[in-house]
Amino acid sequence: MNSPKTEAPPEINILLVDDEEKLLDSMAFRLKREGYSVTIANNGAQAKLKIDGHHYQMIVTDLQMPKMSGERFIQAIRTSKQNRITPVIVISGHLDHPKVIELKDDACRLLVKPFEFATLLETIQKMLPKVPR
Amino acid sequence: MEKKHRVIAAVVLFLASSALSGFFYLAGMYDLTAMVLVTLVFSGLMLLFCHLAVRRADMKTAELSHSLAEAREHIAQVEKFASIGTIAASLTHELNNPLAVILALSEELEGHHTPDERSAYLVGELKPCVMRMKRIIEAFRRRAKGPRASESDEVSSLNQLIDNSIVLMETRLKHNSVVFIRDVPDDLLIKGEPVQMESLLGNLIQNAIDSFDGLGGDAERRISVSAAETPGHGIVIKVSDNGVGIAPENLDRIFNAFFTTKDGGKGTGLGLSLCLRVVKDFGGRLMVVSKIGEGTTFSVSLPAAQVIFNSSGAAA
Repeated sequence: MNSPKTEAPPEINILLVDDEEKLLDSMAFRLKREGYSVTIANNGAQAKLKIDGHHYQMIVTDLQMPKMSGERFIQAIRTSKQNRITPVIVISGHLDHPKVIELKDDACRLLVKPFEFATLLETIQKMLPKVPR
Repeated sequence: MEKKHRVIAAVVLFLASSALSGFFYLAGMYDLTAMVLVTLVFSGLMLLFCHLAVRRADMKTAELSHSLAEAREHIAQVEKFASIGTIAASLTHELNNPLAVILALSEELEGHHTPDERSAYLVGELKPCVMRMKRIIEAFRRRAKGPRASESDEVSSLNQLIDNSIVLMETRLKHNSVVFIRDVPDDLLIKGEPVQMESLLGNLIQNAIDSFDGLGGDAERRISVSAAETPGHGIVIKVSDNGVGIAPENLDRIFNAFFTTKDGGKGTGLGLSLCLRVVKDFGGRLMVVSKIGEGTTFSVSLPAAQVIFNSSGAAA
């Protein structure tokens, strides 16, 4: 494991959304090992149900997914009561997805797949301080 | 429509001249012979006028048909370029997703206790392979569709651009035992969108490798890339090979989109047309000199405004 070992606060809840189950499982496993509390969803529709009535400090989502796309899910995040200002990391196989560029959202970052876990961890850590405690 | 109207006009004038002659005849002002002569001469003039008008209309129609055919061809080319960009974007996405899984799982395996040294070595090899594939996919996508050369003021080392441009060709260079000679000053910098410059160099080097296809197995294969300053006029970058050469009758056509002499499926016929587009966008010129059996040299002239020599810090 080359990723930097850091002490994550126990209360950090991360929602991971991707239809690629193996990737989802691997990311969840390693984030839990880093001390984060992780919830997973396989598509936008499932993820939308998970954000209803629940606050997350960070959401990591794919863009192209069945049932509900990542773009629509991000719109749902931005209009939700609990997660309106939650930072979002978009993970996509597209290098310059136009939809991501359209978001023009300071609380939104793009990671192009494939990415190293250390990069994901670093991005999460950089974006977390923006969350009001 | 124009042709039809002119024919009707000629017929009406003929009938009018006949009627006028008939009127004068009945009024006793002409004899019959004079009337017939006047009618014939007048009709002849009308027919000549009609013929010339029709001919002019035909020429105009042919001209318009030619313009239409050219416009259609242009649209077809633009559509083909657009399709290549779309395919590249789609392929990038489809390949990057499974690569992300391979990378994630190999990283996870790396973190586990591995039973023996060999297993640890194998797991360790996976990650650099995935990252190399990622670079290849990125290079492919950027080649297929990228910003215009003039859209950026980014400054890049020419040597670095050459390194990046051959990422996709390392295996072919190695398998063909190509001797790659480089004579490029370290301090030479190029201003403009680096992706386009990489695409230009990559296509020229790719063509040089393809030129060895018709050579015998023992023949030496040599590619040289050089850059030299032409005082006051920027620089000239030369990409030369000692391959089979280009037939003289094809030299005028190699920069046309979709023209290729490569065997079925190997060439798209787009490489050199893209190169020309990039060079023009840089405000430069692209020239070729080739001799069958001896090889080919492509010369890219870039204007002084696009060139910086790092040591002096001033544009050449």
